[in-house]
Amino acid sequence: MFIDVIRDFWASTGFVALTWQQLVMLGVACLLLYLAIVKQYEPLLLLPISFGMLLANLPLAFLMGEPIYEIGKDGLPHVKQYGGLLYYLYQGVKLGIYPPLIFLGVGAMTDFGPLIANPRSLLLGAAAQFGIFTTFMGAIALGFTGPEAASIGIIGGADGPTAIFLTSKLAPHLLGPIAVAAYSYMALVPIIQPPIMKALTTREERRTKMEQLRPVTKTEKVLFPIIVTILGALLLPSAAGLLGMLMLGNLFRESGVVDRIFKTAQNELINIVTIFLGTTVGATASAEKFLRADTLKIIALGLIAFSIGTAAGVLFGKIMYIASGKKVNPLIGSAGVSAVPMAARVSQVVGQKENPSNFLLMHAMGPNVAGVIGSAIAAGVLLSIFG
Amino acid sequence: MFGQTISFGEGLLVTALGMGVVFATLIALSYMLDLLRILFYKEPKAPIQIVEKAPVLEEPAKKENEEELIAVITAAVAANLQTSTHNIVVRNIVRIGDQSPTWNRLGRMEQMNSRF
Repeated sequence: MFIDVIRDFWASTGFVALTWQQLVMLGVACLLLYLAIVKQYEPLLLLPISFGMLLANLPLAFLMGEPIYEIGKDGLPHVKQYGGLLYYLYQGVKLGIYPPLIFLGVGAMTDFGPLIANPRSLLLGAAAQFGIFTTFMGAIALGFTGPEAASIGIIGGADGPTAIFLTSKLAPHLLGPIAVAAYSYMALVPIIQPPIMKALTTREERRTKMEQLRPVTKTEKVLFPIIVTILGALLLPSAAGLLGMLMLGNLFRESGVVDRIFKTAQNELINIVTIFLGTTVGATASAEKFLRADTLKIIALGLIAFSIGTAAGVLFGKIMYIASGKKVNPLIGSAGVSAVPMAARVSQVVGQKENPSNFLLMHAMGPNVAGVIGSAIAAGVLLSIFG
Repeated sequence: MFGQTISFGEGLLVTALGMGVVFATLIALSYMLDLLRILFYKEPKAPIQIVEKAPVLEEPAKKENEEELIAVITAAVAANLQTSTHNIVVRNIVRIGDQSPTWNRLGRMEQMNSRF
């Protein structure tokens, strides 16, 4: 009798139902938690993502479970069992709600001043998007379908919310690996970029000093988000969600009349959404979706995407260096891959190593924020083609 | 526009279209920004030379902090004049004693303390 109770209880625990694949996933989740906590790789996102992964791979917890309906006597579906906690939170990802909300906060935190002061840096932000499309081609060659290849390529945009937004629309089954790849590589930008930047530039080019940026008037700063929204959304209606929210957040900031909501957008709101987004994106990485050969391919392609984006930015920087009569330092080109503000900081560090009196940070912020706009537009193009 | 599986050639087409749209949009935007500059931005006049008299803290600045102090004051003056530090030549900084009445000073101090 007593033995039976114990046996029943044991059978109801997760230990019995645990598969080896789930065990491996728990190991992966713990490794990512280690990277987030001890190594501090993008901890604000990697921590919730890896914990979501942990939760989703605990058997019988049913956290990502969909609700079950049954047809009642009246012929209408009735809920037999409600879905799991993470299932409902995940709807914000699935329906494309969280990424634009994150962009609202990003817009509130971003100063587009350096970009307005030097409009040509927009070109660098465009050139770095080349990584997206090269990787897209690579993914097709490896046998991924069009929508899958587009989602993998967008890792090269180095922009987490954009990558999640596009993937949730085009290839939701790849969301876990793509999010993990995108955020891991963003954390590794200081390691991936410098060797590429050094290999493609000469010492003289790296030592180039740039003129100080002109000050930007408030009128320009207020008009900028409005113009970008109108122009961007008319040209690419599919990018309107991301671009519109980014620019609304920025208008909160620059208008100076909505201090309270500006503060909420860049602090509380973005933090709350980050928790939901990170946890549920991690929870999509269930064992059967994550432990596949495709995941390794995606992680390899992601690295290629980052590297080519960086290289394309630097090479375009070299073109501008020559075209401008040696006034543009090609190192700022690599910041075009977005990954704000990490990539801009890398330009600054690499530049300062060659010439300690050189300050490239503000110059690199131009291509850096242009990269955010560029990858949102690239996502819009891919969405309108494959969506 | 395309089916699920696409050929390499179709992929090239997508690449060309994608990069084309990204470049076109951002180039258009950069010209828009040039237009903004022409409309709303006026070049500051040739370097303004100012001998600034700036009230600073009561206690005498220590020798080793002087450079830093000058840099800070220059930056503050530049910010106040809405220009760049490159347009300012600092020749002399003279400390002005605080001559405001005690009541004013007390009021100011209360104001500041209430913000903490």
